[in-house]
Amino acid sequence: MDQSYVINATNIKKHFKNFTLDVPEFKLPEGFATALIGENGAGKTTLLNILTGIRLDYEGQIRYFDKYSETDLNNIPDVKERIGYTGTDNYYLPHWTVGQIEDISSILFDRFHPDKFRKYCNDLAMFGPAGFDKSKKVNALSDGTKTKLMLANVLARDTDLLIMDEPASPLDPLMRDKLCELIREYINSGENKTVFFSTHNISDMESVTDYAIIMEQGKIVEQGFVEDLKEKYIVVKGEKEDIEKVRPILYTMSQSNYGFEGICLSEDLDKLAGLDIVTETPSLFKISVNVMKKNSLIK
Amino acid sequence: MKKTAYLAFTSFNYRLLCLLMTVVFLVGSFLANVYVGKIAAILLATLMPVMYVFLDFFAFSGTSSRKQRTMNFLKSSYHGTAFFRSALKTDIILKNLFLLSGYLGFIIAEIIYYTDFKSFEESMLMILVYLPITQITTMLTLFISRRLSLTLLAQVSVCYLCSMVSTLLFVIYSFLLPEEMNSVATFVIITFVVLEIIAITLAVVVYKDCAKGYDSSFVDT
Repeated sequence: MDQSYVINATNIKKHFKNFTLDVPEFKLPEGFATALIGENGAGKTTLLNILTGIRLDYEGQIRYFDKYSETDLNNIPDVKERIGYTGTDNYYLPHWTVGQIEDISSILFDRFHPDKFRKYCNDLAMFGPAGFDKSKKVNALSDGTKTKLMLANVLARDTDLLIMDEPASPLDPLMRDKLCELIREYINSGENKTVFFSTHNISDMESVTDYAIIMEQGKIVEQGFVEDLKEKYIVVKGEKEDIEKVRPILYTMSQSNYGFEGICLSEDLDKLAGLDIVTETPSLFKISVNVMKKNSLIK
Repeated sequence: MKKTAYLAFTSFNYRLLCLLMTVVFLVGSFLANVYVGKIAAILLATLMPVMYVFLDFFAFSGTSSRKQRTMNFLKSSYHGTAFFRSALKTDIILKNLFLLSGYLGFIIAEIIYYTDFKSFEESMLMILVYLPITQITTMLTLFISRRLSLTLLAQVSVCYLCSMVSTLLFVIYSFLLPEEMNSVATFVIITFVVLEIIAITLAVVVYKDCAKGYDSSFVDT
């Protein structure tokens, strides 16, 4: 079966003083949850802002829902209406109240449901046992509650694509688990619902991630379905005396007094034949960290 | 029923305070004219811009700043730009109406306690100049305060600057007034027209500057 894509972008470029985002090809598979992974400053937020139309100063072409161009994003109401976006700290004006946000959302989005918004606010226990409090100001909310507010807002709309910038970072472990549940519910709520989120909390979000894109220094360095990535890479553990033999073959490696642990491409496993090694399937966290390590400026 | 952009963008408390302030100025200017006399109008003309510019902090502070990155929520909607512009436009129009109604109390007192035409004419001519000066001061100060993302204390300093500007404008005006009373009316009417054009232009500039600030947040600054 041919995979369809909700976003199909080519030659995306954005130059900053000391940084360039350069993505020759970007495809977001439809009907899946995709995680955007990368270290701080890798260009994740810039890429998300470009894709959502928050940032317009870039080069490149973007196609949404296999139908609309990047100019349609700001000229045809349907495109932004179908995309839900949650950002980080620059999302709401700090003096806005929850009631104002509800009112503004009703004006900004044709398919926003205030009753759903209140339900999500209550379900996420944003205001404690007292329930929905529309007089609460944004600047009086904790970072976690602000994220919950953004989630409640975006989930109260009828959208086809959710783009979320670091939704898990300010959340506690319980709420991260709930976030995964909400993402899964969203994807299962319709035929072609897609979620795209950036995250540093790879382990917590692994259960909900179908597809992963790893970025480093403004470039996509690895991407694929998680199951495929887990077949592509393999974790290798071995004795200290074999370190020098395995070093050229392993993708990355960390060593201790007892031995080494690293990751290599599964296709290179034959090259380690004869060595006393143990292999295991890597987690998305391990794959991501090792791919990032390979491409990072951090020494 | 959906609220208007202005009603949704500004808080109830902000609107209540603006309205309350207008009532205070309306009643205050009435009482001041009755008990203090025409000189009270100059106090009114200095106080009004200060209060409205101060209140502006709670709704539109920093909205025309070129470095503002605070409205990604609006930017994620197709209607975001139109929504923000509509809220800005309504606010600028309302602020000018509030300033006008501040002088209404003064005019009402003149009508109720009408004694002679000359005194009435003097009051009306005075207000014809004071109103655009108040508008100019307010718009000039709003331009500064919205351009910068100020703290509350800095906003108070801008308000202080605002009162200085209006005082300066009054001093300049008093020096320009002709000696002969016959030509005062003509001078005042011409001055009113000129100042009102400046005030309206400034109001448009403030609006456009805010709108430009929002637009520029889509690109690098």
